[in-house]
Parts: sequence; structure tokens; C-alpha cells
Amino acid sequence: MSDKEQKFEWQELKEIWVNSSHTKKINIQMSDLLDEVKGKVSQFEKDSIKSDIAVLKSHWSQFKGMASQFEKDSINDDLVKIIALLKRFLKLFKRE
Amino acid sequence: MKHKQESTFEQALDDNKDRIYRICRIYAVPPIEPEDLFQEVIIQIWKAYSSFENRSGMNTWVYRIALNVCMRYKNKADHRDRKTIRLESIQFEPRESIPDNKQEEKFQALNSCVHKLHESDQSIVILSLDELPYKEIAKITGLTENHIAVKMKRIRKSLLSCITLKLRSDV
Repeated sequence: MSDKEQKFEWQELKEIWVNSSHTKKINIQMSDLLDEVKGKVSQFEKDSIKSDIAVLKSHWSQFKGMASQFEKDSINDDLVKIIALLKRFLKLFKRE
Repeated sequence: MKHKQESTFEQALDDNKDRIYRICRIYAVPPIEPEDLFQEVIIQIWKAYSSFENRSGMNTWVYRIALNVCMRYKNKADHRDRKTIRLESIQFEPRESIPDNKQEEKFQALNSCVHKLHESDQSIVILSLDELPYKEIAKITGLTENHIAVKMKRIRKSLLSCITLKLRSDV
């Protein structure tokens, strides 16, 4: 395929692309739109949060119970160390 | 008197509505219609608009939001229970001069070939088909201009070969 042919074909793709929005005429009543979006944004946010929580819940169920005993023990050990350190700090503050 | 911010928002929609609709058409997966996606994009543009400072880069910003919303929607397409918002102030009417079947067939072939590309390449090619300069595409995608140029060379070749085969096999 020569460069000239290829360039023409790419141009043709661009035309197909640009014409793809010509199937519908979009009429926007701007003054009404502003009132509508202002009113609906809060509902949209609520629905989005609900949807995101649903996604998180469905994913969490896949991971729940997948933590190994080793991971649980490691976290336990870390917590014991952190608590011991905090206790030492508290003792130091009490002395002062 | 209308607030200046609202006038700029209206102008941005008016200038970009066809471009937004094209992006929505390519990303809409049944049962989600392009019209539903379009309305989600408008809502999202309004939500983000108050924090947008660089009014000169408005078109680039609108493209970025449209792509983000559409790609997020596509990735959530499995969640069929997702509700869509209906804005009564936006009406879609069939045009008097509807594109012929051949035109629609070509668009479907293009659509199918774009979907065969990697997700990040899809957004690059969409922006390129809309004749955005590489500099603007780089701003939207976060890639360098050089990277876009290299990618486009490969994408263009693959897209042209895909659509040529597709249209030839459909004849």
C-alpha cells in the first residue's frame, strides 16, 4: 500500500468518525439544563456512592478469608510491638 | 444577567456536543445507550466545572472528562443495575438526512476495530480521529508527544488493516 493510498484511507476513517455523530440532532435547552443539573447533581452523587459501595462489597467478598495465618500472625505481632511502645511512651510522660 | 461561569459552560457544551456524542457512541455498551452516557458526561462536566481554572483549554478538558466518564462506564458495564440520569432539557432527534446504510456499516466496522485496540490506544485514536494535535492528546492522556507519535504510527496501521479486512469480508 503506497503512502498516498494510506493517507487517503486514514482521511476516510476521519470522515466516518465525524459523520458518526450525524445520526442524531442534539437539542439542549440551556436555561432549563442549568436548573436540571443543579438539582440532579446531589442525587447523582448519592447514586454514585451507592454504586461504588456495591462494587467494593462485591470485591471484598472475594478477598474475605483469603488472609493467611502467617499474615494474621504478623499483624498480631506488629500490634503487640506498637502497644508495648505506646505504653513505654505513656510511662515516660507520666514520670515528667 | 446570566452568570459568566454559566455562559461559558453553555458555550463549552454547544461547541463540543457532537464530539461528546461521538465518544459516547463508541463506548456505549448495551443496555447503556449513547444518549444515557451523553447525559452522564454533561452532569460530570457541570460537577467539575466550578474547579476548572484554565478556560482557554476548555475543549481539551471536556474531552478528558468525556473519555474518563465513558471509560469508567464501560468498565462498570457488568453492573447492569446502574441507574442513569435523564435530563429533560436534552433531546435527541433523528436527523432529516439520516446517513445511509453503507455509512452506518462503515461506522460499525470502525467501532469494532477500535474496540480491538488496547484501552489506552482506543482513547488516543479517538482523539486523533477528532484531529486533536499530539500536544493536546499528550495533555489528556498524560503521555509525551513522542510517545503518542510512535503509538499512532502503529495504531493507524493496525486500524487501517482491520477496517479494510472487515469491509472487504462484509461485501
